Amino acid sequence: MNEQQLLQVFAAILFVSGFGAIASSKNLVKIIMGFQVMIWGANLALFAGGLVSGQVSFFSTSLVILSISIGASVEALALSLVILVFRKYGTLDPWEIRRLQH
Amino acid sequence: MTMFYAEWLVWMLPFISIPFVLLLSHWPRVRNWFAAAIVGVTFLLALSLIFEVESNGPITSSIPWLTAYGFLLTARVDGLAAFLAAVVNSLGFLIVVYSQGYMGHEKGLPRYYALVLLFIGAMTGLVVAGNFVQLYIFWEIVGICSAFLISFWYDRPEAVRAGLKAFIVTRVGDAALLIGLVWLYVTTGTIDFQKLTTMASQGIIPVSLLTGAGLLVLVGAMGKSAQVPLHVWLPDAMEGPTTVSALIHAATMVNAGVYLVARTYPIFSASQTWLTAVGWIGIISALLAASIATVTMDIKRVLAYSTISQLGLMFAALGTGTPGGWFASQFHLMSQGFFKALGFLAAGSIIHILGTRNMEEMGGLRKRMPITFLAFLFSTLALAGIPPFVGFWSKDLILTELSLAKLNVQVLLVLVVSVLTTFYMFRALFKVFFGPESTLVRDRDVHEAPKIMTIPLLILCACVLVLGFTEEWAAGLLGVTENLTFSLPIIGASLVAFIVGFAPSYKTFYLGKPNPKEFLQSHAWLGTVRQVMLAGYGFDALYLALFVSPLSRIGKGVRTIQTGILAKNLWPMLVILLLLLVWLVMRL
Repeated sequence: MNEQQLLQVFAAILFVSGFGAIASSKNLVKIIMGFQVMIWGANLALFAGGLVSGQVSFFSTSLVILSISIGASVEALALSLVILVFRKYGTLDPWEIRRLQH
Repeated sequence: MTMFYAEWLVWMLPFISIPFVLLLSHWPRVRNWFAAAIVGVTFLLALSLIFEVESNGPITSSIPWLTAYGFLLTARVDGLAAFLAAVVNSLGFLIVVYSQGYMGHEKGLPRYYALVLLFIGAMTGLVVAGNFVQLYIFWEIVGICSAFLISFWYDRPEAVRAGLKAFIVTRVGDAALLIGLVWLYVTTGTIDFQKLTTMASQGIIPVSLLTGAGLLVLVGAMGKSAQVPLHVWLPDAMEGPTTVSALIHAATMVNAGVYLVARTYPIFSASQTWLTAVGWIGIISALLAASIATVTMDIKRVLAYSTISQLGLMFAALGTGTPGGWFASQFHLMSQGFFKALGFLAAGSIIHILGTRNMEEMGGLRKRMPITFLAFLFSTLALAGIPPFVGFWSKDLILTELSLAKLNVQVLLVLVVSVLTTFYMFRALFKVFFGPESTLVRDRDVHEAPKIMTIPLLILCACVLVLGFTEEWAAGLLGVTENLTFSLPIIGASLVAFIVGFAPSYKTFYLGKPNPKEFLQSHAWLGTVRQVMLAGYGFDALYLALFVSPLSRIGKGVRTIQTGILAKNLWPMLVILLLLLVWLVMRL
């Protein structure tokens, strides 16, 4: 297993654990944290993809930086929505605030 | 490279201006006129493109895009693209100006103007696209814009349903188009129109592939241009605001399909099967839609079915396989765009004031709304093909080209369509503008629409009168050198068709002899035919039974596993992801 494959496996583990956090959490903030971990996994995978014989390509680093900034803004938006949800419903449990279920 | 980069700006400008439309929501008047001004500017840019193409020939400019796959972002403006860009933007401009009055008191105008700009920009982008991938992207934007605009009044359930229906039905065509494009790309290795055209003309691409991929592309075009059997979305699309109907029917959406067939025509026309399919689909759609238009009572639906029928004539002209027929279809597209926009905007003035689309509740509007009457009259005369209106030139050109191609059955059927067209348009005209004033008209104290709505109508009236004389110039612009002759028998035949269509319409709906209702009662079989036509020949019922009902039943079954709780629904996905991870680690 070389460097790149190691990073890719770690990226996959990060992604799956973030996903697991989303699937099992009952708190919106924790769900967003899980989402964040998933984005880290994706970023790491992008970074690992640009590794060629120990060198990182500029293309992948620039993509990672772009992805980090997009991820940050998405999280900020999500957190602001969570604040609104909390103000309206007084709870952060998505199971309680679901309204689409019949 | 042109000055001002017109070939890029003409479609990018509307896109760039959308955020400004949304930001200007505190100054509604500024925003509304800003949107109109942007479309005005793009219209001027499109005109500049026409002059540029006329003097210097086609413009091609590309920038690298997805270089790893060898794709270029190409703006290619030849005569066809410049011609259509001008049609789209001129009609778009008039419709946006008209919207200032028509949509004046609506809510959600930022959304309306943003979508309209996106719609016009995407349609222009579609016609200047130099390759299939770019065209497909704009194709999808046009589709989604139309769906959103049809369900603009999202608090009306029928409008939401109509928007969804438009989206799903055209999706069938889009999927076929995408498969066709991928097939072409995989086998030929290029998506560029010019390269494909060269390859097809050299005979490198086998005819079987051209037929197969061509038919798939044709299904895509049928979806967008509402040809049978994918036409069912268009009559329902009348639930949107009338300005949107005008935009969809005259300027943008439905023309995309005809344009796609015209653009890919040099590639696929080597396949005779493809040409025959194009022609017959057009003829069948034209006949079916024209016959339904003779019975429907909704003024907008009359115009909608008339659009399907006129688009059918364009497909029929494309099916001739001659450069003249190709030109006739595009000239009829322009002509249809103008007289249909005129018809829709005139109908819009009436609906704006009366608040109904049912023609039974109208009547005697001629004296109260003289300008609207003039507009609808001009639209009717143009559709019926009376000289010197633009419809006369384009329809007779189609007939001439069909007869030159020795397609006599098609000529006869197009004449039948002309008879039906004259009949239903005069029926609408007499019902709405002549006869005694209805109670609704008297109660509402109907008067002419405001100036901001009548001025675009008058401009369109002038266009409908004058544009027919641009035929030779347009043929030169589109690079058709064939001599466009008018044969006397064809003109005679279309005049006979006019009289055959006009006389019964005049007798029943103007003179009232025989009275239409009594006539229907005394001829029971006519009532049955009428019912069948009113049901749209059962296409909707068929689709409901074949696709919609089974799918909703399956959906109800699946509902038991779909708990609606996100965390529960995610678990199966997590399991698959874990399995994938294990597989990945094992493989290393």
